[in-house]
Amino acid sequence: MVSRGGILANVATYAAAVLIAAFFLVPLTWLVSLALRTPQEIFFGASRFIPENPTLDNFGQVLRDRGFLNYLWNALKLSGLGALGSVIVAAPAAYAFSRFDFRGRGVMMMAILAVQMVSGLVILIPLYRYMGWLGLLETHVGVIAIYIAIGLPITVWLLKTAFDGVPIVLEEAAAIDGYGHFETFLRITLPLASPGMASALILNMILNWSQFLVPFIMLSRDAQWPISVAIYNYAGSTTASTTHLLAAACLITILPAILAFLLLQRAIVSALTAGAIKG
Amino acid sequence: MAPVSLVSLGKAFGSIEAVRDIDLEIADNEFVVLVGPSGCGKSTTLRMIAGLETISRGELRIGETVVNHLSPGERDIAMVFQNYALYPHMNVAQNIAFGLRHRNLSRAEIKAAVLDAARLLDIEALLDRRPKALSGGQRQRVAMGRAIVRRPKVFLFDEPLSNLDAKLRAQMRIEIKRLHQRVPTTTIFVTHDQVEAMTMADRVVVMNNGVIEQVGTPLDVYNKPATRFVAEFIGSPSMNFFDGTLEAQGEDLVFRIGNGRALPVPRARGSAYSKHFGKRLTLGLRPEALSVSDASDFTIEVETKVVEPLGVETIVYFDLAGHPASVRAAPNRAPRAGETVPLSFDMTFMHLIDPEDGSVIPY
Repeated sequence: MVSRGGILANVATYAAAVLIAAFFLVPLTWLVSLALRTPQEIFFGASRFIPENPTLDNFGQVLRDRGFLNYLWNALKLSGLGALGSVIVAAPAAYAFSRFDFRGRGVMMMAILAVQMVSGLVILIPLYRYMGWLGLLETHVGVIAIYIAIGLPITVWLLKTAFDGVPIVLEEAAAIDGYGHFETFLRITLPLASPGMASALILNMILNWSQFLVPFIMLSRDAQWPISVAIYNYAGSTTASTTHLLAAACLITILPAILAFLLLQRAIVSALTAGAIKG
Repeated sequence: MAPVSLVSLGKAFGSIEAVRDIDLEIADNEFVVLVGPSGCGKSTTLRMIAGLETISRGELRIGETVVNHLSPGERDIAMVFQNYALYPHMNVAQNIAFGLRHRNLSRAEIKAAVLDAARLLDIEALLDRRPKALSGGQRQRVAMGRAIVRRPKVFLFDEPLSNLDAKLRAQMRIEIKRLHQRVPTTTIFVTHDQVEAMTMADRVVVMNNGVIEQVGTPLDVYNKPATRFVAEFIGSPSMNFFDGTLEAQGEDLVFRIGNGRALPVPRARGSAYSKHFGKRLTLGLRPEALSVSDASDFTIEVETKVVEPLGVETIVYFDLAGHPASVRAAPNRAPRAGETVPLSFDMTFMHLIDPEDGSVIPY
């Protein structure tokens, strides 16, 4: 028997869940509705939510645009290389935090986490001047370098948890089998931590994919833009007649991130919560 | 195959001395078991020998070589861990072969060596499986295969049987012994289980609080313990201890226990114990030195508290002069709990312990 209070609590929980889901799903379904309309139907606005003549032409038109494909490619390149760079740079630090007992380890871990709290906006102007001084403005290398830096704190934490999950005794067994530190890291620790590392990589890619501010500030040439910046081009020139194209472009843009998350959500959630509970 | 020498070996973690003054000579091909309660320093000692723990003091030699500063891989040892430590991303064959890859062997030679080891341990059928598809006993065998395939100078075992159930543990005990007979290698085995120590060792090293209490053959440490700790730790049920005083009674010696009863001390012990007249001492008697019978001319009546039938024998627990004690009884002649029974004492098995330093007075 569920008590009366229990039923009420359940109802409240589901009501809250429905509200939160609606908050995210309503704009998304609105976007789908717009993307499936013909230019004429756009003028019906919210009065005709389900289009009478749904069409996929808008998607075709956006995808046939060579510029759009170039933006997608740029986004993939920037977010992929940025994520890969974060994982590569964070791995040795995370390994050291996981395996070596040194003074100030806890403080340093917290300090790294504190960096994560700093909003990108706050450091944008000094960062811009610094990148200018390095000659990395208007380059993908510059954007990737910033992505790597932004992704580092959370990646160090995620990878530390992944390395913590590899029993030290396996490294000791490898040492007795005659392997040095680095070889043991490559042959034993890295392969066993790979699920956690993959999750960190995907999570970084998703975060980088939706980065707007950094590429917007760093890159001014259209051909270099990732989709997150270029999409504003569609919006910037908006007239009623291109809203359907903007909606289709938006959907295509967010689709990889949503797909990646849905396919890998179990891995990502377990990487984020690993070590939080004993299991 | 090589002798191992530990000379004044010590390990300190900060200001805490985990292990100190370990002197031990292990002969070529000898099977030595380090035994003691948890925290006694036995695993730390083993890890120092393996090279997984630095040595704070003293010298460690394997064969003629001082290995204090050699890495584990350079010491030519193999180790079997408590949790097996099999590489989960490799199959059994790869696990066994992993230690051979550094030895400039051809693929065919590695394969042959792996097959040899697998045959020896009866795990040929498992070579393609991953560790997670193996039972505890099979994992243990693979861990042993990984150790023997390299034909190391020394085998180290760190409580390898403690994760197995009782039946499998007894079986693996025999297998490890048989393996040692077939592939004679210097072996150092760590356990907290005194039964494992007694049944497997050529020599037992009993450790407590970071030092060696006694080194000897299993029967030596059982029959002639050097300290109260050893007397208590080795043997199950544990030795019985009764506080009292050593007194002269006419020409004979007696040990008077707390309740005033005097137990006769064998005459042969007279000269050994003469210096200890009148002292407060502790009498140690193993459960088998007592019997539930009134056959001898000296008996004490006690009330039994708990009776444990084990099939082959029955253990009877009782209190005597304020000390909990036990006696082994034949199953068909065992009393019931709460019964008052006569106890006979065979004092030829007695030990006298100096309560001040815990040493057993030699005789």
